[in-house]
Order: sequence, then structure tokens, then C-alpha cells
Amino acid sequence: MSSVVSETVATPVKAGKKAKPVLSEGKKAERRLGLLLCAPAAIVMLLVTAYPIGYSIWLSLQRYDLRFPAEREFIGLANYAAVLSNSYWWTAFVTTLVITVVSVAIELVLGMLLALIMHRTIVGRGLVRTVSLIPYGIVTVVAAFSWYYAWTPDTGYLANLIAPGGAPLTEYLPSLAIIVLAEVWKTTPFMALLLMAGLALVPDDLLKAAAMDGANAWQRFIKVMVPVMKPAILVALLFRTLDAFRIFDNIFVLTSGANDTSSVSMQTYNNLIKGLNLGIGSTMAVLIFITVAIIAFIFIKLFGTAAPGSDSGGKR
Amino acid sequence: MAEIVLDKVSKRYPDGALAVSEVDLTVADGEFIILVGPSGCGKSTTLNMVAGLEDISAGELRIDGQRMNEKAPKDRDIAMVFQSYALYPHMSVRENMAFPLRLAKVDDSTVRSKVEEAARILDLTQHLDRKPANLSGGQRQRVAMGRAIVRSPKAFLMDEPLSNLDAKLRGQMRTSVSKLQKQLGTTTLYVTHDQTEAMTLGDRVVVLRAGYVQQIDSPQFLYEHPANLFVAGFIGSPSMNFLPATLEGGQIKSPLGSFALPDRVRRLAEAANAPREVIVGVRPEHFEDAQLVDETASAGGVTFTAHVDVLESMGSEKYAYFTVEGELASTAELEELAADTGADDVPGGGAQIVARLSAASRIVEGGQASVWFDATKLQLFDPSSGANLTYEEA
Amino acid sequence: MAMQGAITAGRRTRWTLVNIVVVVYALVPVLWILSLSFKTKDTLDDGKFIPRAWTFQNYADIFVTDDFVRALVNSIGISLIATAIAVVFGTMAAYAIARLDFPGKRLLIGISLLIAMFPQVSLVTPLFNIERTLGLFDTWLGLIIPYITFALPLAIYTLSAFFREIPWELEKAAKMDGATPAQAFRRVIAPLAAPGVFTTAILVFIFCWNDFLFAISLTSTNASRTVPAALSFFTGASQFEDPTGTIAAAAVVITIPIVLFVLFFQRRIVAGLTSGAVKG
Repeated sequence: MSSVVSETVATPVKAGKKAKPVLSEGKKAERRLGLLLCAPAAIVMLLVTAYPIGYSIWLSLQRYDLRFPAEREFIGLANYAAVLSNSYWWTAFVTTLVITVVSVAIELVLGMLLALIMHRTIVGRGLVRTVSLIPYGIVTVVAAFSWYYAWTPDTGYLANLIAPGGAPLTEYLPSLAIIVLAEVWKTTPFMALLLMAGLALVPDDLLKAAAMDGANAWQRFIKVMVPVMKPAILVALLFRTLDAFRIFDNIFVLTSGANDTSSVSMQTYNNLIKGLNLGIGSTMAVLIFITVAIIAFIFIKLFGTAAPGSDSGGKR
Repeated sequence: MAEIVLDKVSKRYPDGALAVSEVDLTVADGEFIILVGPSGCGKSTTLNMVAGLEDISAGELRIDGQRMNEKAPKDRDIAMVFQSYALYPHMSVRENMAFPLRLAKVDDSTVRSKVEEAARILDLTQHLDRKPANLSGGQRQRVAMGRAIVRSPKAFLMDEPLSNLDAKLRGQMRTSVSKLQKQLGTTTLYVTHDQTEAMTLGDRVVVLRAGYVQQIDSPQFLYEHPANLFVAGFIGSPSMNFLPATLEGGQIKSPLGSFALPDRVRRLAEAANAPREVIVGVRPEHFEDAQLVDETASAGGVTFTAHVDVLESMGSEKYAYFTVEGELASTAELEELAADTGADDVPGGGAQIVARLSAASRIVEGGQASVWFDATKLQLFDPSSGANLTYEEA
Repeated sequence: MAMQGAITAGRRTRWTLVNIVVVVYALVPVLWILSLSFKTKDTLDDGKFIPRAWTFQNYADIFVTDDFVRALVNSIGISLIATAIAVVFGTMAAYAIARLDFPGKRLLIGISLLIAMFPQVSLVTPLFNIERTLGLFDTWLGLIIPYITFALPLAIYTLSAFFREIPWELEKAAKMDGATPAQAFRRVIAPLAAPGVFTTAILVFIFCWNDFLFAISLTSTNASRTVPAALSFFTGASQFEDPTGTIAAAAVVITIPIVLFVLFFQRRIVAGLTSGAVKG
């Protein structure tokens, strides 16, 4: 109990004011070890995200074009005004939102179906699960190329199938549809896996009880499974929505942003790498960050206490 | 083989909570000691302190006369069986059992012969090359035992080793644990929640409550002469019935009727300077259907009439539950016992008297019954201190 | 399973059909790119799934060009190093989260969650400029650092879910069996943690291997350009008349390791992805 004595002697004022629980040597050592073990991960994550974000905000307030470095100066919110009044930005923004909403909605339905199949199939469960992982694992760019060639009239099997002689990747709506298709194909398995984990949490007895109470298959799904799975569904939706909002690889390969199919990530990339305009690029980066934060905030509000990480500290 | 001495051993947690308070216990060489009590009574903490898995806050632990407080678990030469068995899932049964010997750098041929010897004793020979995941609960339990006995430690510590088994298997394993301990003659400290294990296994039983030792004695003595209300209520199943009563001039007034105190009881109560208000304790088996009790025997007891709420026929005997006038006795200790057994969760469960009657009894559920009880066997308790006023040393 | 009733031949057939649909869905794009990679230049445009004339010429082509071989070396090297570091840091942090009690634990979990959802493109602009200043632009390290950052949340979530499943009572048992703390860790805890660490490593590797945005933004030459980025430059590269076949071949080459991982470690990958997501 020597720690009791030293603690009181060292901080007599504090101990007097607030009866803080005194920590034993073992507890202190545990805290130290915990902080020490987390330090590298925390430092890397903070250095590589927090600092650049701050830096990004700083850059976004400047005129800074690498092609004309001499003209660098502080211009306040002028970059924001420029971006927000630019129709290309808004087109990209709407395109991104449309792709996000449509593809996540389709993924949710398909993912749920796939999850049910993987969870309940009576034949070849291992095969189905293995095969479903391939789209998840495959490099997005590779998959995008496959779809690109499939829809290109010269090389493709799909382009001529649907509209002979047409070139779907040169038209606005067909391009968007193909982008959504590529996105859905690639990420549905991931969605399905997250949902399957939720399905596994639905006790079989609960479904039996519902069946005894007179619920048919659809009612069992809607009234029993979905409510129990709600946390898993929300987690899956959150991750996929934010992921879809960053869409870049697929669009880059499929259309390079032609015909107004550019996403906000594409716009940022173009301004930075092609335009070498750090000021505008940073402004877009900040705007995307804010949008994502808003989406995440809305989701977390929806989650309530079911938010991931909200209680993973102690209980489990 | 060793003698284990706990000399005023206490455990105080950093937040100030006292988990174990000044436990004095001398475990003789080869003795089988049971630590029993409701959850949170400090029995597992005591065991962990002996093991070295938890620090001793005050007092001294001696094994064979040597102070052990500062020794690491590995240097104490004692083996432990855990409630979850704690089998290493990545090792086969053979490797699990050999693990302590390998750590002690025992040579291969000795390891082999010792493991096979232990496997033979525990009937595990044909399972030696299987992984724990492929074993049944009972087999896993035996592997855990095997890992403990294989290196012939000075003592065994067992932390509720049977509580993860189903009732029937638990009964069988109880017998084999007892046999094994007698065969090996190794000093054993055994923690349990189950009072049947406490009654049947140990040479002596230590009853703990909230970190304090209540009584240390042989199981039979504890049953017949509980030191206080808590021990009386904890030991025995179904447990002792408690009723409030008043003592007046050698007479006792209780919900079971008014009657003269038997000589033995009166003598002890007077010696203990009993207060006016007391609690009467009657074991279920000290009741009988009045019609089955002959004249001479009935003289030593009291007969009363009550309404039979429920009658459970067990074949060999009958349990009758009936309600009596007035309240049942209630003290902090009894409430703790009720909470521990979950009786406070059962609506109306605590307001009944349980009597164990002969199978020959003809009383019927829902009817009135004339019930006799043996007044010479009753015990009196002080409601404020809980002490047994009729306690006698052996 | 109990809800399904008896397994009749009809049910079996229906499920088989459903499974075939799933398999076709998952494999068609892969088979298409595989088929393209084996087609000769003349038959490339036939739109047929099975090549009429088979050739390995496309594979031979990519392996003689410096661009692809360098990119492959970059991809493997960068992904392996980033995976190793992320898994080591992640293991340390996840152990602390699963096993120890310390202030700031919730904060760390919160930060990881935020980074998992972070729009990576928001980092591209500032990192582009910072790395140019520090001389990290177009180097291995310049890619490894952001990869570690974005892989860490994944690693921490997956690993802490795995670590919570380890029965830590075994550590006590080992001590009672005469093990020192180091022996208890090495002989009991480490073998139990290994599968989780390995699974996490696969997931992190797939993540790094997959990246395109950082690879294309923070590199400019084949000094550090990885295969996904290099692929997109094949299109404009002049040394190929028609890059379709070679892109397909390169795509197949970088897909093979992932397919192998998936085939061999399906069960573990599923466990890793699901445990982290739901229990985290």
C-alpha cells in the first residue's frame, strides 16, 4: 500500500479536494503499458490524417497553383466561392450522390439476398462463400477494366448484346449505369458478409417462436430478422455509403470522368494532378471531408447506442 | 504433500473493497478442504491468493512452513483446476497433460510414462491424441484433472471444477474426485458453490460470507451444529425453515404453536443468555406426518395443523409446502441467502415452510394436515447477531 | 437450419440453381479478363468468352517490359512492408484495447472509426504537397505511410475482435503449470493469437494491394508506381499497339495472389471481416 502514501503526499491538495480512487502499482503499470502499446498506432494515424487536414484547410485559403508558384497568396474564402459556384463541381457532387445512393440501395438488397443464401444454403456453402469473396478481393482497377472491355463495342460481349452498334460508355446514363454495376458487383459481397454476421446473431429459436405465432416467411424476415439485425444493417450501410462516396477507381478506368460522370474524388484528383492547383484541390478536399462528416453524423444519430465502438470498451 | 497455513490472510482491492478478511486456516497434509459460500463471498479470491494469481494484501501464506507471499505461481509447486478447465486448445490431450512437465524440463521418457499413468487413472488413454475441442465436457474435466496430477504437486487447488457439468455427470465426477484425492493423498483446497459437493467431498468445510470465515468444521458437524443463522441456512437442501418466536418462562411462542422448550434446548439457551425475541430453526426432515408418529415418539415433539399448498412426491419421500400464520423470519443474513439461491425471484417462494415427510404419508395437496415436528432438534438463533443460541461444541 | 424442414430433392435442386447464379455473378468479369489475356491480337475483338486461338504472348510481353516488372516489384514490396508495420502496430494497440484498462481507450477506438470512414481523397492534396517538400513523393515510403494509416483501423478492429475471443484464463493456467510470463505468452497466448494476426495480415494486404488513388496521385515514375496505377498507364503507353491483351494479362497476374488467398483462407477471411464489423 505504499502507493497510497506516496499518492497522498505527492498531491495533497488534489487528494483533499477530490477523493480520487487511488491506483495501485499494478493498475498504474497497466495504464502505462496500455498507453505505450497504443502510442505508435495513434501517432501514425493522427500524424497522417489530422496534420494534413489542418494543412489542407490552410492551403484552401490560398491561391496556390504549382504552375504559377509566384502568385501564391492568402485569399480567404475565395477558393470556396469559386468551387461552390462552379457547375462542374455541382455536377460531380450530384453524380457522386446519385451513384452512392443507387449503388448502396442495390447492394443492400442484393447483399441481403446473398447473405441469406450464404447463411441458409443446404448445398455447397463453402463454394458459395469462397466464390463470393473473389469480387471483394479483386483489385478494383482490374474489375473496372473487365467491365470496360465488356462494354466497349470492339472487344465486349455486353455492348453489342444490349444495343448493337451503340457505345454505352460514351453516353451519360448508360455510363452511370455501368459505373453503378461495377461498383455493385465489387462491393456486394462485402455488404453480404457484414449482413451475414448480423444474421448469425438472430437466434433460431426466435424464428421458430415467430413461426409458431403464425408469421409467414416474409413476416419473419421483416418483423423478426430485420429488427434484430438492425445494428449490423446500419454498420454495413454506413461503411458502404462512405466508401461509395469516395468512388474513384471505377470512374477513372471506365469513363475518366467523361460525359459528366466525374465524381468529387475525380474532380479533386484532376485539379491536383492534372491542374496542379493546390488551392482549389485543397478546397475540394475540405468540402468532401465536411460532406462525409455530415453523412457520418446523420448515421451516428440514427444508430443511437448501436454505434460501433460506443461500448466496445468495457463490456466485451 | 504439504501443509498449507493461512495466517490472517486478507485481500483489499485498490478501490478499498475488502474481499477477504483475516482468514485463519491450517490445512493438514493430505486433507481435503472445501471453501463454500455464496457468490462474492471471497472463496475464489482466497484460492487465487494461495495460487499466487492474486497478491495477498495482509497476513502470511505458508506452505510447509515456508512463506509464500512473494513467490510466483510457478515457484509454489501447486496445481490448479479451473472452472472452465482452461485446456490449451492448440495442444492435444497428451500435450496438455505434458505441458507442466515440459516446463519443468523433465526428460521425454519420464514425461511419457507419467502422462500415460495419469491417463490410465483417469480413463483417458484412448483420447490422448485428440484435441480438447473434440472432447465431451466430462472428458475435458478429466484432462484438467490429469494436467494437475501429472506432476505430483504439493497441493491441488480446484475452483468450482464440476460446475460446468450437467447434474448427472457432476454426481459421478464428484465420486471420482473424492476417490482420486484419497488415492493420491494430496492436500486439496476445493472451492464450490454447491453445498452437496461441500457436504460430500471435504474432510472439513470452510463457510465464507462477505470475506469473513463463518465456521470451519466437518460437514456433518456443520449440518448439526451451525454456528449461526447463515451457516444454518446455507448448509442443507432444502434449507432450514426459520420462524420468529418469543421465549417466555421456559415456554416458546411460535407460528407453529406454543410449547415448552425441551430440556436440552432450554439449558443451552439459558447458558447463552438468550433474548426474548428469537428465531427458531427447524430442518425439513424433523417434520413428520402426525399420523405416522407413534405415541411415545410424539411426546418429544409438537403437533400443529396447517394447510398444504403443494405436495411433491419424490418417490422415496414427500415434500410438503405449507403456509403458517404470521411472518417468516427475516434478517440480513437470510435475505442474502435468499438472494443467492434466487428464492427472492420466485413470487411467494419465501413465505413457505418445507417439510420432508415419509413416503407413506397420506396427506393431500390443498387439504389440512396434522404435522408433527421434533422439538428436541430445533435450534434457536439471536435475530440481531445471528448467533446460534443452542450451539454446542462437539 | 431447423427452419428449413426436410431436405428434399426439390429443395436441393433449387438451392443448386441459386448457387449457380451466385457463382456466375461472381466469376463472369474475372473469366472475361482471363479470356482476354489469352486471346491473340487478331481474335481480341471477337467478343467470345472462350478464345478461338490461345496464346501466352500477352504474358510474355508484360514480363519483358520494365514497366510491369518494376510495378509488380513495387506492389509486392510496398504492400508487404505496409502490412507488416500495420499488423505490428495494430496488434499492440488491439491487445491493449482487448486486455488492458487505460484512459483514452474509447478515444482511440473513436479515432480508428473516423479514419476508417475518412475520405482518402481529402488527404491526397495535402500529402502530395507535404511529400514533395519532404522528398517522399514517388518513393516507396511515400505510399507505405498512407497505407499504414488507412490499414490501421481495419487491423485494430479485426484484431481486437479476435483477441477478445482468446480465453485469457489460459494465461493463469500456464502460470500454475509452472510457466514464466514469457513462456506463458510464447507457448500459450501466441499460438492462439496467431490465426487472428494472420487473417488480419491478409485483409490488410488485400487493402494495400488494391489501392489506386494514392498509387496514382503520389507517384510519377516507375520508381514506386504500383501495378493498379501502372495498368492505367498501359493505355497511353506507346510501346504497345493495342494494350488490351497486355492489360488483361497484367490484371490476371495481380489477381492470382488474391484468388489464392481467398481459396485457401476463405473461412478466416470471412471470420475476420464479420467479427470486426459486428462486435467492434
